[in-house]
Amino acid sequence: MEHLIPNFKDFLRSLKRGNNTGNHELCCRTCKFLLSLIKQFRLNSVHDVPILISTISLFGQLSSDILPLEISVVNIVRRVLHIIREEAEHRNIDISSENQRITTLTGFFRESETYSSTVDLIDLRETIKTEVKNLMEELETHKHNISDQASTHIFSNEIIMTYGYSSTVLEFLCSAKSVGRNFEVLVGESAPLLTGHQMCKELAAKNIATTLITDSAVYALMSRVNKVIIGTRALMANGGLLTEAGKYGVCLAAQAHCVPVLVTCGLFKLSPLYPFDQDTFNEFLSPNTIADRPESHEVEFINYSVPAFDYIPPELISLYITDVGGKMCSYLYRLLSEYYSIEDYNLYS
Amino acid sequence: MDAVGKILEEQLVTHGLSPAYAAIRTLTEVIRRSNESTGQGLIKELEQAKECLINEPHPLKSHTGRTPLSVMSGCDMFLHHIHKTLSEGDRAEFQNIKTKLVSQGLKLSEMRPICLNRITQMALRSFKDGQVILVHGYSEVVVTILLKAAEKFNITVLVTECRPFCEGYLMCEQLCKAEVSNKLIVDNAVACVMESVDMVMIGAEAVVENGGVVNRIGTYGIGLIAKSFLKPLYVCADSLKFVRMFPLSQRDLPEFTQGTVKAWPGHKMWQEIMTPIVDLTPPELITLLFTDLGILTPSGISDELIQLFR
Repeated sequence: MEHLIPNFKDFLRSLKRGNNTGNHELCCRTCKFLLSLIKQFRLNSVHDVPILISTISLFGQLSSDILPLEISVVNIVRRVLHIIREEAEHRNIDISSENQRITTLTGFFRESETYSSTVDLIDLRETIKTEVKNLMEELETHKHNISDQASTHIFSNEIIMTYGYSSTVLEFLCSAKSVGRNFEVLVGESAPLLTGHQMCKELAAKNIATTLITDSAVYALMSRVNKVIIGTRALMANGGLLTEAGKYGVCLAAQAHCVPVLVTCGLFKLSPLYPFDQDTFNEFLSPNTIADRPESHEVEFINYSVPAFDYIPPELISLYITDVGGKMCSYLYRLLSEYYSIEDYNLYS
Repeated sequence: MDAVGKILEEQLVTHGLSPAYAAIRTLTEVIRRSNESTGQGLIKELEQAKECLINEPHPLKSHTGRTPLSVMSGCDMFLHHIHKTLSEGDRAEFQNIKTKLVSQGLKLSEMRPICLNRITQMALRSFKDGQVILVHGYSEVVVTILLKAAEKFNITVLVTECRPFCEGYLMCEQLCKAEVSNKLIVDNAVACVMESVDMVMIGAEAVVENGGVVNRIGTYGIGLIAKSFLKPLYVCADSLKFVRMFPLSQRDLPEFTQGTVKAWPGHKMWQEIMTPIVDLTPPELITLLFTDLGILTPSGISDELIQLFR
């Protein structure tokens, strides 16, 4: 297993260095990498299955070390692990490691079960490969599945606010327009990276009436808005969002004006981690983004703080529009238990 | 059934087990001493023992000042497991099943340190340097977490007196011994200090189906204050405290949650006050629950209960 570590590290560093076209691209590449790993892995006996699981867990650990803020990449690793664990459980293969076996009451009560010693490993590998390919297809079609629901959420003569650039929200709005809804969009420009400008151009190209507004105008215009639709980078286990900085203010303004906030996100962004405050999963961008060549005597006294991400608590969100439909915050624990195994929540154990 | 009460007392006092685990040990003893030769007979005897443990909580009250709710939840879970084992097992091998149940009961009652360890690992992630934590009531789990957190982070703990049982003093004693910076405050001062508090951490006597928590009287009030100040409220409990109860209001808690306490000796007119000993904190006021099954949101509790009682 150790001989694979340099291979893993090379791949992860290539992800880090890449063009950074968004974490969806990174997830697809990770999925392909894991599929090829499963294809090449030597499965000679039943005892190789736990080794496969620990190899992929090791990959997961390395990815959270090398790419700490790419939560979706680690989610893909967890999804693949869940697929393998489920298939192994269907075939009654013993995959628990010694120290994991009895650490919870449910584990205790399930302890006395019989395991099979002969299993069709070729069939197991084929099923796992098929499931991972389904996962890849889910990654590729999630935007389509989300935008299909657009006509149920957007109606004519509505004013919708969005913030910054999100390709999922873009497709969502375009889909509503193509169905025939006539609505207006206010786009917050999202300083300092000004991604809202790109969003405006692309919406205008689809003939959607768009207005670009500054961040400071968000609260003032919120009283005229019917809905706020935003995308997110990651969806945490308690329903909180990890998004680009600036959206927390938009959500607070929406709460103050009783405007519903809809979040579009694919299920691969749902993570079993819990953030406790703004700093748990955050990093600071370079002061260059806000200060153009500061004078040397300024630098001594001025502190430039440019957080990259915001954590938005779940109370501010009305509905999560995922590729399996619109979900409420109280339902997320079900989705978590369906798509992830609890042994994989903490990949380091 | 006096013997049952005596066994429970012994477990609580000499072995220092917490009530739920002591109840499981007691039931294990009952199985070991039982002369029954059929599954049904054994179950009947155990049900009687459970009734006795819940309805005569003298050893429980005098030693720990708690209600029999955790005893109830521990017994329910163990009895469910026994039902399942007996129904799946072969009738002819009854003695083997009995021995197996006894060994499982003993192992289960020793799981407390493992559960505590897991809960502590998870709860530690919510701490940061310089935080002020408010605690209410005495909970072994919370004490363990605070002591572990104080080793890594620089924290201050505000402990409520927690009348009428004054458990806050016990908590303070333990914190002082470990040299954790703490301050004892009067119960009514909670609203006053809430703005300087970073989080509220409580244990639980029982976790009910909708994700609400039954804990020492006063917790509901602290939950309401924390919610209005937007401070997180974390509940730390092991999964043995999960109970299949769905109380819709404070009045829906069982009879034994009411009790009498001695009045303040300064005024001669009243000797005793009738008061509820515990109250129900609804799930809307709870941010997260740290349990050995993982970090859970209140909405996830019902699912976990179904898993445990399957």
